[in-house]
Amino acid sequence: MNIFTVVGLAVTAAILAVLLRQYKPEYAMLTGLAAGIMILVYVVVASKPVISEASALLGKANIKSSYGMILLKSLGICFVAQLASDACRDAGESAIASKIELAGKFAVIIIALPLFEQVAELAIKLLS
Amino acid sequence: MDINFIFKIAAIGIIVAVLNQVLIRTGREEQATMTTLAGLIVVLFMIVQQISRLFDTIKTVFRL
Amino acid sequence: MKGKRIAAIALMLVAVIIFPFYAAAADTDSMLSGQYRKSGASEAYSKTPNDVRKALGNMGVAGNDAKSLSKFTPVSVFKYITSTAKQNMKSPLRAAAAVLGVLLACALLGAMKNSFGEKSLDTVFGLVSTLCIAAVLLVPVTKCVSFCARVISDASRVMTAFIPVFAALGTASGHPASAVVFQGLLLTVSQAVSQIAANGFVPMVDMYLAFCVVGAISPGVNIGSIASFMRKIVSFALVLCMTVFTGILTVQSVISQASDNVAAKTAKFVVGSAVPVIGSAVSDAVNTVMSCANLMRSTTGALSLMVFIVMFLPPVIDCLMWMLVADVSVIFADMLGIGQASGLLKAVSEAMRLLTALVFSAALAMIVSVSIMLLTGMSG
Repeated sequence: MNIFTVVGLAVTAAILAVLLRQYKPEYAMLTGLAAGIMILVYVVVASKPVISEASALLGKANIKSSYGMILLKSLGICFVAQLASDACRDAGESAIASKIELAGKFAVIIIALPLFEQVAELAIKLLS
Repeated sequence: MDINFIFKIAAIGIIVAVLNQVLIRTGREEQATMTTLAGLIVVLFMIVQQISRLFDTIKTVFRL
Repeated sequence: MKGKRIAAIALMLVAVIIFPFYAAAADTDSMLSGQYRKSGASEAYSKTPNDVRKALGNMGVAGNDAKSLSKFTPVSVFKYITSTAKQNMKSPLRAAAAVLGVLLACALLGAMKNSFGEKSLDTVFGLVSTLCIAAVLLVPVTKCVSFCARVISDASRVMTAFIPVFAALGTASGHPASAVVFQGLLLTVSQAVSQIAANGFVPMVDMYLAFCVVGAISPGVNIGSIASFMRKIVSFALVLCMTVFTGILTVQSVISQASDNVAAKTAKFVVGSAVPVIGSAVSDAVNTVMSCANLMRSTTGALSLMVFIVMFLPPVIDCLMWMLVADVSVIFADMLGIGQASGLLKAVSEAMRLLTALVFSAALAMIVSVSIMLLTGMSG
């Protein structure tokens, strides 16, 4: 993964966004959003080996592989939600940004419900 | 990692801004508004394509 | 179960006081095997758990005569230790790999932290990853805890099975009754230690683990102080019991102290620093234990001692493995800066330390009391 590409893209986009903000602020937000999306795609594609390594490690342990899936999915949800909320905040809509974060939190919790159940079961078994 | 995409968006923005100023100065305000809206729609289309590519990548990598 | 034990001890005392004393037999070998048969050690041996007998059988000890017992050399013990360690290492290592994977995923998200906005998404993900680590680690750790508890209660059952054997031995070598009464006292003390360990301390370790899990998951609710309080109680009670036990040993001064040479000093130092929680209280007893080791000439005593050592080794190795895994994971979690997971892992490591100390003290209590019984049963 080439850090110079990323840095170059990011700085250029920032400069252009500042330039556009005086005339057409919506384009500034769109430029920032576009830059964020491209960098995120690049990072996610480049981190595929890391993620597959992590899920392989998780799969080797003698636990249900669904827990590893849960963790991975919640990571993805967090990425997307963070990107969207940052973009909204940049556009000045911090209310929408908080709602997005709320939705992200709930999505993660809903996906992780079986995990909650398992750990609660464990704790109860230990206490009895 | 297409930096040209960012340049395209910025270029559209600058063009729209300049056209807007020119059209307003010459008194054609409704055309100015229309160019602004057209520029926005074009850029939105381009970005939505990129967003869809992002979501596909995330869906495959994170197996959502 | 408790009634049976008290009845066995009372029976032993009664038997010793009422039976007449025998005269010594002629030849050592035939005397030893005669002792073995008369004391009913073979029935007692058959009451030991199956896997212990299998392990001893792998070392060539059939439990019948002195020659097979001489195969119990330090080399064979070391081989047994390494093979058990290799067997038990798979599960902790796999769990360590899983924990590492979870920590990696956490670090990936941590990089996305927005330094200006609220870190609420990060908190939720930290919560989910801590839960995952808890689920991965706790299932085998609870199995380890119940395994240790089972081994301790098994060992006290074996001790009960061997008590009448020792009583018969003591009677056979013509020993006065008063010393046997002292032995009875020591035996009850050792039984008390194992009872308290199995029924009192192990549930407390369980509760401590449960509290730590809940505390790590809900950072708002501050359960940490309750958890550390429980840990302090368990450590204090353990140290108290072991201090009392070694105090009784020295007061009795039944066993003449071995000379305080370099080997003894080294052993004391190693025990004092390596054994968690009770190390300092127990390092003074090392002298006694080492002089006990010199007494293992009798067949029956050696056999029972071997049974105890083989029985207590696997849980100690298990606990040490899990402690190592938890410590390594704490290092990783701290390096990656994930606070919640680090807290949970530290708690698991502490619980494993407590458990090791528990098993070690139970083993020590049993082995020392066996040696003392043998001493007064033999030298006459």
